[in-house]
Amino acid sequence: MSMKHKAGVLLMTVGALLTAAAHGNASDGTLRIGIDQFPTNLDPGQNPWQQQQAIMHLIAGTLTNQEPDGKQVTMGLAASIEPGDKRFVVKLKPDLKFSDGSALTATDVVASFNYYMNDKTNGYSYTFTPIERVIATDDLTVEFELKRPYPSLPFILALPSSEIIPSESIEARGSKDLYNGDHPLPAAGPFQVQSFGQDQITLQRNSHYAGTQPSTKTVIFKKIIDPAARLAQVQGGEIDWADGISPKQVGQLSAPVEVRSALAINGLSFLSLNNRDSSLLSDVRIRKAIAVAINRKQINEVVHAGQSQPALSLWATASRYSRPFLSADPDVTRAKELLAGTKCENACKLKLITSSASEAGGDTVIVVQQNLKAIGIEVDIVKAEGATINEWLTQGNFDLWAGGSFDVADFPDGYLAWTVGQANEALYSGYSSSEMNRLIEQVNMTTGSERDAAVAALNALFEKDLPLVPTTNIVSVSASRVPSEILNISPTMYLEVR
Amino acid sequence: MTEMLLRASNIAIEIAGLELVSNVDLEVDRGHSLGIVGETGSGKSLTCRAFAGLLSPIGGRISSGSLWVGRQDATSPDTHAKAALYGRVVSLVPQNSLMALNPLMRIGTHLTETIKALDADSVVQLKARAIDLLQRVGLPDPERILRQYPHQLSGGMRQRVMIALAIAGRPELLIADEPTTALDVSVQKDILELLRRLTHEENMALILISHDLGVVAAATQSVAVMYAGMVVERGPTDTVLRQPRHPYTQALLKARPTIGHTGRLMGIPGAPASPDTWPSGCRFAPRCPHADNRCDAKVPTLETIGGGHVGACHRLHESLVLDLSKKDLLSS
Amino acid sequence: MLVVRTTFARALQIVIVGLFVTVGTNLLVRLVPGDPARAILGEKASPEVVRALRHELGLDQPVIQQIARSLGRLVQGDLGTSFGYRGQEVASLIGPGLGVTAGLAAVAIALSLVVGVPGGLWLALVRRTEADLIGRLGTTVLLALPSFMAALILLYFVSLKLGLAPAGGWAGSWPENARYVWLPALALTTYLGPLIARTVRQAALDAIGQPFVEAARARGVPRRRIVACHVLPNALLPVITLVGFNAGILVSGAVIVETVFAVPGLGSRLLQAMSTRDLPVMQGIALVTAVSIVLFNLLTDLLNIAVDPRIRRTH
Repeated sequence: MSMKHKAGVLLMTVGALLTAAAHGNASDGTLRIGIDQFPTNLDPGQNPWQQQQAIMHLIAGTLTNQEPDGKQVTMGLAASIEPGDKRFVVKLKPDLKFSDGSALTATDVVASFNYYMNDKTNGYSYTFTPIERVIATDDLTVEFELKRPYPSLPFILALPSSEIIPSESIEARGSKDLYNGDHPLPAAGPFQVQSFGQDQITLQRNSHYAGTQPSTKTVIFKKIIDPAARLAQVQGGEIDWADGISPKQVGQLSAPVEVRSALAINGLSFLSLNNRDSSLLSDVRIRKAIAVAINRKQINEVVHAGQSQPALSLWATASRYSRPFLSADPDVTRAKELLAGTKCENACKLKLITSSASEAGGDTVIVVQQNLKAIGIEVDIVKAEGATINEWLTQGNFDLWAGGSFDVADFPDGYLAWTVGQANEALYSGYSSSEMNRLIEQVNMTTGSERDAAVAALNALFEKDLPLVPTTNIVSVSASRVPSEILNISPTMYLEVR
Repeated sequence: MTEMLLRASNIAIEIAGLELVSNVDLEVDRGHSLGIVGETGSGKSLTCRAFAGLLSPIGGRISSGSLWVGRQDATSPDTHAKAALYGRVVSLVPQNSLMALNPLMRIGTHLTETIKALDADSVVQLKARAIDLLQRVGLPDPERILRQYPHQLSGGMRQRVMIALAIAGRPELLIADEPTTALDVSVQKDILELLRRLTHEENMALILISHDLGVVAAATQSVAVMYAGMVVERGPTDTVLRQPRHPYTQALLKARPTIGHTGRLMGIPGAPASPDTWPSGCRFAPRCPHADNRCDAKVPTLETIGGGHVGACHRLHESLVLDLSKKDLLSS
Repeated sequence: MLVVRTTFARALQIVIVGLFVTVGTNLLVRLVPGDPARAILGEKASPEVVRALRHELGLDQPVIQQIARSLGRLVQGDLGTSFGYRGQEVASLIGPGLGVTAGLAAVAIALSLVVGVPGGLWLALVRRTEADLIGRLGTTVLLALPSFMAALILLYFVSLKLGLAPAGGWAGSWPENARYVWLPALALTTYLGPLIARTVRQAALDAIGQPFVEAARARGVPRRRIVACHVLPNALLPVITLVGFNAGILVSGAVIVETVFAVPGLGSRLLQAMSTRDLPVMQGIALVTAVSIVLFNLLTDLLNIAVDPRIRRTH
């Protein structure tokens, strides 16, 4: 009898505990965002992944601000930027402050860039290479002296990796400790870090922010690795935003949860082809045949549930540089004509690699396998985990890779380098063309009609060499229970918090 | 004046439709001691299970005949009446003392739970009664033993504990199933002496089951010999052991080694019959050196020899007498 | 004394396990492709930057030297510093996760015992009836159900359809965690609970068949007392060993269940560490897990000694 009694008390206690704890919601100015990858420290130069950058973007105070459309920048900490051929003069807004209330002056800007340019382990070092030096001419004026013309600099200055941090902190704390999440640096962005954990990062509105204060007071990022778990939590009301859900699960959402999606302004999903001599795909005719045989509509439907768009050029559909030359539908006859006289004329076998963690990649390779079977190419699908894929890509141990590349804004420098330029030579396709490199340099260094001409030539060369096969635009699909005016994803792939 | 404590009339015991014990007639009076002897499979343990009310756990039942324990019909399904019977009127000392004690429970707990269950009068002084019981069975330092676990005791001590548990309910009839198996010879004697003393002191009746005629000889007044589920000979212990009339009893006695005797054990030729292949006539016939046509044809019934001595053999009255009076069984 | 001997033997085991895990993970991680520096910097970083980071992380040193270094640190009780969480002690990184996983496992074990012990006992008492058959069939089905399936099913029905529990997450402190812990714990219970039930059922059946149970019954000990004091304790003995043996399976199950319910335990630490090839953290988690399992085994050893008087030496 006493045992029964005790059991009853126990059950009641458990019940009370289960019902007692209440949980917060979006209405009190708090946003809870479920995301699958966290920054491990606050160094924007070592958190390159999209989700990491999205968090860094909310903290970083930058001279310019990236507009959500990805097409232009507006002034951030800078009041004005006077562009020049090899010199940019930046005027700071007066009375700038870091989140701790200390003044932000030209000294901090110079110290920040000097630190970045000297940091040998900065993953964004390529964005600083054209910069010769940064000097302060007075408290509010900073001059960027350049090695070569760098018209994309205003875009670069908007990146989180160009955030302005206090010069005092750089001196006081060694590089090891500078970005330690346990004691975050004072920030100059719209939010500051309140707590930095491995599973939860809490951001607080920065009252000293120079731009428009967001209405959101607190942003809580929760690390939820599994996409189905993120979806369940947004549907269950545990979080307000489930970042990066599978497009196929959009149908499962029910009110008040809605889908939010955006197409990247710059970048594509593509099949990276191994242009090295070791691969059959060093033959441009086979590459072209594959490009023609791929059913981009099907990929969009199957992989992205129609949320994306077929990619018909080297560039994202919305990019100012896009010049479509491919077709959304496959042309098997044309593909077979292209194969005539190649090693794949009758049959051949190709190794297609993709990351096992990527659902989109996994679906893409199946469609590609089907599409290529129609032209007699047998595709061996090999899945591996991300770090392994990277290794294979570097070694050229593949024929096809279902991958992609994107940048946060519509400036060509980085994207070209990784897809067809020198950075890509070592890493992805191994495509190497001095003509292409010359055109890239031209595109990167020019503006206006000069740049347009260079892009047109580059697009033509791409069509001729076809080192990679565009498939679809990059789409990010999320699920949200808050209005898009408060929280949304933009073509920059940043989260826009208002 | 004698009072009947247990009377089994013509009982048969079945397990899963197979009759394992047939036509058993046995009686025990108050203060009397009966030995039941037989080989493994003779049905002696099953018979005493029936007496102790322990058939149902092994799926057995009394399929015919009547069994009276005290003034109760033990074949009736009245569970309340049975609860008052077992442990209180009739109590069992189980075969294997190590297995029959819960290894995780102290001796004291075994005793107190039994006292609580059987002896309402002693509940207020549980510990005193427990110590008293241990003293009765001749265990020294009972306080310490109460705190000990079964594996910490010797076999003889455990058997004494089993007896103490069996007499906790102040039963009138104690059934001891092979109480001395697996004990040293000297300890065997002590245990038998204890049983003899207890039955005498408490005026209890005793049924002692053993495969060893010597054990029975030492502790009982009468004896029943069982073979293949039937009683084949019964009578005063002294008479049956000195003048066994049934060929099986004779063979058993010959097979038994005497103390100090180093010669080979003379076995009984052949294997005991198994229940599903029991012969239609005398069940011992296939192994009996004296068997003739009658033995194969008809089951012999118990016939009086005289002086309470009965036997079930077609050639009971022929001169097959084996005189064993020279073999000093009673003192072994 | 037995307790001292057992503890010493397990301590020795911890040292050996520590050595093997450290050397083993060091070698294993180097066998799988994937460069920690590249994982931290991303695919777009230039090779020079990757090289510089490799140097800073000490990855350009010979493997033997790296292993020797981490063993040397380990002797001083230092698990090293994380690659990704730069400058942060591995111990401080995985400590909270270990606590969460331990909490989840503890609740799962408790739930499994609460469900499995009475369930198994009941199945033993109704043996060979339809209820027993259905019960055993049920345990078989549950045992065959992978943890992540159980987790997803529970998440879908209990949380999303019925709204009885949060759809994952973690409060971060007790007792607030109780709201979050019970569903993932239940998912783990779908494995351990039936296992315990089956073990208890079999052990209880064995106990019921033991002469001491029959003897107690013959002595007139009431049925309830026989079940509670004779059958149950004996049926519980193998459960201690069973739970001890399943500590490893429980931990790996916890990793999966934690992922589905977004519980910030060792599982999410491990996934993060693997995706960034954070070698010191991976090593630390492997070590901590292995040592925890040995400690858990020690606990079951001691529990066995405490519960079963036969193991204790008769002075």
